[in-house]
Amino acid sequence: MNEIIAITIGAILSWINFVIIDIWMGLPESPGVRGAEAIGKSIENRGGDLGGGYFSGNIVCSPDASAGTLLASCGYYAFGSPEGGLIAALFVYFGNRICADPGYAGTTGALSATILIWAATYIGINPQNFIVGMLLAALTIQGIYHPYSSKLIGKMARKMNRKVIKD
Amino acid sequence: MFEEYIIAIVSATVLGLILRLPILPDKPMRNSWMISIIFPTVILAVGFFAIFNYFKVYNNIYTAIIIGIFSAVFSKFFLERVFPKPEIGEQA
Amino acid sequence: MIEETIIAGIIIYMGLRLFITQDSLERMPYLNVINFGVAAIITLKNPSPLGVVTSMIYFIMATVAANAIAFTINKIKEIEHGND
Repeated sequence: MNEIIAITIGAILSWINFVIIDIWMGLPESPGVRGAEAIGKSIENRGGDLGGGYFSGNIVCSPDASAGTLLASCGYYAFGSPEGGLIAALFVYFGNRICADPGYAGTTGALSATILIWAATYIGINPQNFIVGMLLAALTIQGIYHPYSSKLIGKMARKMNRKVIKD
Repeated sequence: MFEEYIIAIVSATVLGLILRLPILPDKPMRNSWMISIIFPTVILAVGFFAIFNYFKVYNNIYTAIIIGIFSAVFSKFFLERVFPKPEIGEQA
Repeated sequence: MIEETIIAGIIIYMGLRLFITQDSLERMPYLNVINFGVAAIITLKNPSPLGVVTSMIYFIMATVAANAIAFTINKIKEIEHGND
């Protein structure tokens, strides 16, 4: 398959995987750690959505499904088989416990990414495309324009019934 | 190749039930710090066995059973000491 | 070949944006993208178990570091605003 198409499909699948699992695991609801709260409030001050800001802050401050997807695809690429994804899930779980997070988002993201990559190899997409694709997906949320991306995440979070928890 | 993973999972589950680990954490599952069989015992068992599976000499069912037992024991007794959960309001 | 070009381009672009941005809390997500990029390159150039383990440990330690940085920036802002 043409490399550009494969990387694009890898990027779309990685984006869907990490955004859906992170929103489902409640990342836009509350900041897991205080650093995430600071980043979330800073994005809100610049015109973004608070839930989307907490989402970005939680991605920066703790390994979540984005880290899980990236490391699972790296593991799959290096080991040549889904075992790499399982080892990545183990490491992401330990990383989560170090960062004061229960660990559900990262491990679930890594396992579901392993399943996705395994299914995608049957249509000709290899794990390298998922590695680059995950970087592109992270770029769209964290690196282009925070107010727009946080508003998109906020809208998706409200649709999936994960609103910001006010204390 | 998959049978050994199933054996590791089964061995971890059986020992988890013997050590009286709960099967599921309390709801809402995503915020709970409770150690259960589904999470993280099975994750640890499968992950550690995948590491050992890479070294071909440890590739048999005895390793799978031992790793299952180890992950159940580790998650019940040692996990909270090695990776302590933070108290409310504390920062990592 | 094309993957490494894409990753290098993204890292350089994020580096330039880091250089231009003044707000330190706005820089944290850009730093996070660079961490993703470096972790990806470590594995792409070393497709072996050592490469993957290095990549995983680097990324987790980079996340811990970013956590500490964001927490400290928050603390300093609190101290400054408490003194006003």
